[in-house]
Amino acid sequence: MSNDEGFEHLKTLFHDDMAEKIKALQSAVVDSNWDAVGRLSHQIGGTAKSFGYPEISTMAHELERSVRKISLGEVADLVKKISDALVL
Amino acid sequence: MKDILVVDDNAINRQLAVYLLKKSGYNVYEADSGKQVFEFLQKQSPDVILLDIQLPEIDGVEVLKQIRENRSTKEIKVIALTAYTMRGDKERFEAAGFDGYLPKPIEPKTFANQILEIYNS
Repeated sequence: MSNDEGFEHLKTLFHDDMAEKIKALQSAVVDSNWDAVGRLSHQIGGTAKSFGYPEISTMAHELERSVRKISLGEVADLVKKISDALVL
Repeated sequence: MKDILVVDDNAINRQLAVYLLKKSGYNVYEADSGKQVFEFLQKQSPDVILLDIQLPEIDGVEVLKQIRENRSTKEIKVIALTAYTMRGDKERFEAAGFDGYLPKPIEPKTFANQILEIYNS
């Protein structure tokens, strides 16, 4: 299933979209816009696993759940881990 | 079950769902907002609506409510497709009147079968 052309095309779209969303997530953290952090992590978490990144989904869900409860440093840390996981 | 309307404002998820369902032989239609759903339902009546919860303007629960309030659409099977997967969410969506619940992320290998199972249940 994952080797056909249609899925490969979707994967390319996914990568572009994810890179944009992660950039937006980083900006939202800088702006302390927690609503946006919650919304973006919800979207990232809801997609990444379908394209072979279960760890990104797990971290994004964790971020969505805990964004208002953990320190800014911990939020930034999670965002960096999400970003690194996509590049790898 | 033949015609499926996929509703999601996240283009990647929507396209993935459309791709997987077309591959399984269904006629698939797309919408990215509640407004588009209502416009579609004025023209066609799908067998199943896969409805995301986090939609702009009108959320999925409100879209469902309006579908159920309309005599010509109230019998359509509506499945919640959502990344709200915390404890109690499934019960919340069932209480709202959804016929089933599919957590995101979409699992490509089992997605079409999961929908068929809910449709037949």
